[in-house]
Amino acid sequence: MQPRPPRSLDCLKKQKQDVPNSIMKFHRFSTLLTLVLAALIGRAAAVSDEATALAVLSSGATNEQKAMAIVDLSVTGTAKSVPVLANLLADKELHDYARNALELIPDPSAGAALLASVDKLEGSLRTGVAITLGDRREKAAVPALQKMAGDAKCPAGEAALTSLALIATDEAAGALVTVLKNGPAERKLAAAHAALRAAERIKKEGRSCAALLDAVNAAEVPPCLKKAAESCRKG
Amino acid sequence: MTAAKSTRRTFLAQAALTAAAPMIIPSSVLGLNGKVAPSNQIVLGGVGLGPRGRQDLDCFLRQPDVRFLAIADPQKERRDIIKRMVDRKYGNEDCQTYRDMSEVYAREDVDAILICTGDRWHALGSILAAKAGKDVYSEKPCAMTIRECQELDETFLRYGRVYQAGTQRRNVDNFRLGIDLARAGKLGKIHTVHAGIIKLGDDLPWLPAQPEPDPEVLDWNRWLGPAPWRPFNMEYCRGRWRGHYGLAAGYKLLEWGSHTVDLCQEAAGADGTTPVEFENEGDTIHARYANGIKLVMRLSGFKNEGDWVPDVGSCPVRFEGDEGWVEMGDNGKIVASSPAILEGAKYEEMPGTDPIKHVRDFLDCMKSRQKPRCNSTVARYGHVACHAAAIGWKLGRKVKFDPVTETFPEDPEANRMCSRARRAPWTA
Repeated sequence: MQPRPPRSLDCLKKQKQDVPNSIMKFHRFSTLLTLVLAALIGRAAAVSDEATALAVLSSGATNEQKAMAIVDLSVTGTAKSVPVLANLLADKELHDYARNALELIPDPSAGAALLASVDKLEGSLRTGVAITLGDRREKAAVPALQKMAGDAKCPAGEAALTSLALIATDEAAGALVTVLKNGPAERKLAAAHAALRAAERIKKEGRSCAALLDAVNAAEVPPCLKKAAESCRKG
Repeated sequence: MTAAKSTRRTFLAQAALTAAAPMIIPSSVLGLNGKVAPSNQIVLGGVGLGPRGRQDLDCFLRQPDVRFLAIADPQKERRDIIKRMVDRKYGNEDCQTYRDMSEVYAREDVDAILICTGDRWHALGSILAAKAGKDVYSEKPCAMTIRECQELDETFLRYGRVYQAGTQRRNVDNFRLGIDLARAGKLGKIHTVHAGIIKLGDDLPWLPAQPEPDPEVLDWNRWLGPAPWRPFNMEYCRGRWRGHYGLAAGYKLLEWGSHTVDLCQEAAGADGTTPVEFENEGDTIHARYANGIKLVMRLSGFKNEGDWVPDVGSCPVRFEGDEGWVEMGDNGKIVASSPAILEGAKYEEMPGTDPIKHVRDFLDCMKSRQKPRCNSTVARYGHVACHAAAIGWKLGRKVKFDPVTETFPEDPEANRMCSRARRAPWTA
């Protein structure tokens, strides 16, 4: 069987023409209607409340409508939205939106849902959850993140290092030092970058970051990182 | 590190060029034949150079101390266009093409990166470049959210890299003159600065889904990068990404606001801070700095929209003091409340869209290691101001903002709009 030739852009142009005209006309009309209404109103469409957004998610709405409903939940969502959003973490098309909303919902159940999912997901979905745990500053995630960071075969390992830097508790800092000293060689550079970021955060809080900076200086990393460590020490 | 690179790196670290005379190359840089020695050249790579990127690149290619050697773009067509443009300029085929920007960043011979992708990639592309030891000239806006603005600035400060946001107008003569007049007290005490913006608008609906092309032709996954997933449509890649959630920043406010608010910030002496409150009134956003100076973001456009001097051009700004005012736009001119304000002033009339002097400023600072006019900290606060204004617009109400913590005090709803998760695996 002959391999399919790569699609040229001419093929794409032809495919656009092949899309049924009725669908194209409807989409153009609905887009135009939305733009006209927005212009007449002269202001942004309001952020929908949680109940309205959740109703969209439980309906037969399109993925686009669900995505925009989840965008609104990133502003208005509460603990009530967490189970629905957690179920969407495995959905390749809605994962980013759901993860963003879970990152921003302050209730602890959002962090717990993310932590519960991190070992159930794979590939970039797992990497995404790993980074969001850091963005939420989820202290309970440090052991799981340390395990990922220390595993050379784990694709989410570098994201886990960044998250440890963002969390920046003593435990997280210790995990970074451990990876720098004893972790896989292929993780050292990322660990050094993460250590510098953690050191800045820790220093701002008035805590000692000497162990992190010492570990960067002792590691086999480019001189510019050691220079950054010295700047942090002196700054 | 090779000996040649070490020589160039040493030169970059030690040479001190005057940023005030951006088009003059010191004789120490030029060889006897008037050309720049290869060891004194800055090696540049590019990422995502479309129509605007080609304008920027043209300015870089005109500099005698720049050598462009690599282009990364998920679209093969655009890679090929840039390679042809560069090879024609140099009369060789040295320019390498890549689909993945990380391959350009990994090259030890590349000193700096020109980033002209859509908004979604500006911050992350710049951050990754800085971590790889490169200096960066990136198109505006510098970042998609308030948190990304902070992360960008912190990264460039941490690693001591040079960053220039492609707002260019601080290095365009008529705007420069207006700012200098304001800062020198020629208008009296500044009380109001006006920034022209285009009409704001909410996120557009998704374009119809199309089958994804062969990644070698157009790598949609990489094109989308850190933006949240949406189905492929070729029109996004032809420039119709503007106005779409996750692809364009701030409900269109940063289209012109990146430029005009940036100028107002400097005129008001507000670099390093932001206004403390924002309030919508129709198409206008009224903002106020802690020292009482007002920032008015109001409607402007390509067809003389808004109450500006006729034919002032795009991106107009106006600075008002208690003894006079000046108004400038991309037409290259400056208008003042009285001739006395402009007496003796000399400036070159050039379009506000021309980055030639801004590019030179960046290159000079690469060599002197000083900060260029729109460095990461300047860009951070100017664009944080824009994002804060856009958040208030979206919420449809007055918002207060703390420029020190860069948060909205006691406003959890607004604070939840300060950041957005990046799509994995594209993280910093």
